[in-house]
Amino acid sequence: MIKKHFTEQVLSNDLIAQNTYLMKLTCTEDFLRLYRPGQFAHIEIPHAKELLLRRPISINYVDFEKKEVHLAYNAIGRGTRLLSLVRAGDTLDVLMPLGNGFQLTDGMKKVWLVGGGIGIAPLKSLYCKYPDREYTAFLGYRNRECVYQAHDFEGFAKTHITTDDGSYCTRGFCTDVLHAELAANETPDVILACGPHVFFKSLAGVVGDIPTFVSLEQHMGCGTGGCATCVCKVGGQYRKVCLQGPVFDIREVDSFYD
Amino acid sequence: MTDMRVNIAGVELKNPIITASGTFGFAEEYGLYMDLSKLGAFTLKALTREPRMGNPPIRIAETASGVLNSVGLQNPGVDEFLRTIWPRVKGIDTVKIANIAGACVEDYVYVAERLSGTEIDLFEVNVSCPNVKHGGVNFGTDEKTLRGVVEEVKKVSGKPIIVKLTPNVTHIADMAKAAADGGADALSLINTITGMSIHAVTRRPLLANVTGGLSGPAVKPVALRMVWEVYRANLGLPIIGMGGIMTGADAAEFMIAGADAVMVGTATMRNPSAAEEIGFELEQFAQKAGLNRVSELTGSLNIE
Repeated sequence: MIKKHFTEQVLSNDLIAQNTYLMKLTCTEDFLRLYRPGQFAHIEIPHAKELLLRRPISINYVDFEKKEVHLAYNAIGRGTRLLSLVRAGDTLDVLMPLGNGFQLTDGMKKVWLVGGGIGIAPLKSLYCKYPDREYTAFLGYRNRECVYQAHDFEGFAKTHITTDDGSYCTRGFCTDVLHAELAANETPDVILACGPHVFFKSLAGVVGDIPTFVSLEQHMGCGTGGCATCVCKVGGQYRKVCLQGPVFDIREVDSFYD
Repeated sequence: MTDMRVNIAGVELKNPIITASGTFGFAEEYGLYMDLSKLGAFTLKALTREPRMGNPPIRIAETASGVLNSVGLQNPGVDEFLRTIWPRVKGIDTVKIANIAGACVEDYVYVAERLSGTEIDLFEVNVSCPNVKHGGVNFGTDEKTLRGVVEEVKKVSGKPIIVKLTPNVTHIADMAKAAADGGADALSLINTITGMSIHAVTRRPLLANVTGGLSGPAVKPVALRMVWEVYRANLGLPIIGMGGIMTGADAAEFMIAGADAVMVGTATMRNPSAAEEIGFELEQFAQKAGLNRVSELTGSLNIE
């Protein structure tokens, strides 16, 4: 029987940028067998029974040799702030891997990764499953203090970095750089993206016929398809981000074309 | 060993633990997390005559020890359910409850008729819906309307019906009596309490629908009180209690207040195998208390 509900040990939980933490967890063979890039972990906040809901956090990287799962998250609300206080040696109740994740076909050689803010985190996971592709990354951060893992991307991808205020690398939005590359007749086989809603809207306007898949975010309940709260309108229907997503074809997400 | 079986309107359950409608999908989502045959029963997500899109997101917000939701009965409609989902679910070896909802009496009757020939064991009538033909007043908040919808569903169901009472009324026992007068075979309570949540800085509601239904441990004292009031009304109907049950002891408390069985809802959102674990805890509780039958708990509140 497939198992997705685990008690895992925290190996480390470190601040890596302003409000951004990287947590490393142990994982099982069951997890490693099922895992696909773009999936997420649904974490119970420890020592906080009054916070009833788990927190969905995208999987940032999986180290198959060390059997580690890496999660990058912003500590912004009460739940994620409590999570940021967890220390090595503590245990967490985790559902993972959840969601459909990104799927690359053999023909998708040239892969563009486009991420904004904490949406950059799940894109790094592509490399651990598909190391043989030709990657280009377009990463957008708010400012210098918010930059994380830029060097990790530079290790496997041709990387373009922007900050909203120009305090690090190019000033502007990473989608503008992507647009410029497209205008210069660079064409990938597929674009994979994660970021805020405005970021997706701007992407939707420029990708044309290029297959483009986006990872969406929504306020979530169970994470297992049972409560139907975490929906987004895709193809005219409210679809469950936890089960039918979080990855959808950009052309089917109605709100990007309003 | 305590006999964990309970009887609801002539249907025997292996144990008193039932998953609550709307928190357990169509049950098939949870085969990964538990042995579904260990449940006393499961309740399907509400079914309506036509497919329902549900409310726009954001549909969920966390509150102090509670959860607010405004899903809006999203479901594929009873006909599509029977065609595509039911064949995968009907073989699960436990009692199956269908929750039915509608915007007018005819809608409820249609859904009940479509399901009456299936292996569904019990119907649960969700009366927390606005009656569009009567000015949008909830079926469950007006005694006459409530009795009317129960009478009509009863005529066509061919199976026992549970009426799920809304707590958003002044006197829950009066509503319970109206359901009994209409021919209800059992009562379940409480549905969610209407509430809202506001973000002070943006001054916006957290739910796109502005209001939603509150559930979880935050509502448990209200739910216990209402179960007790309905039990004391002596209607002779089995009661299924719910509202913030997270542990076996919580389940026992509802039975002590007068419930014959209980439903587990919000707990499943936190832990997908919660219902199975709560059942195990209740069994341990009953054994430790030296009970021959778990049903000995029902109505055993000690007020002296």
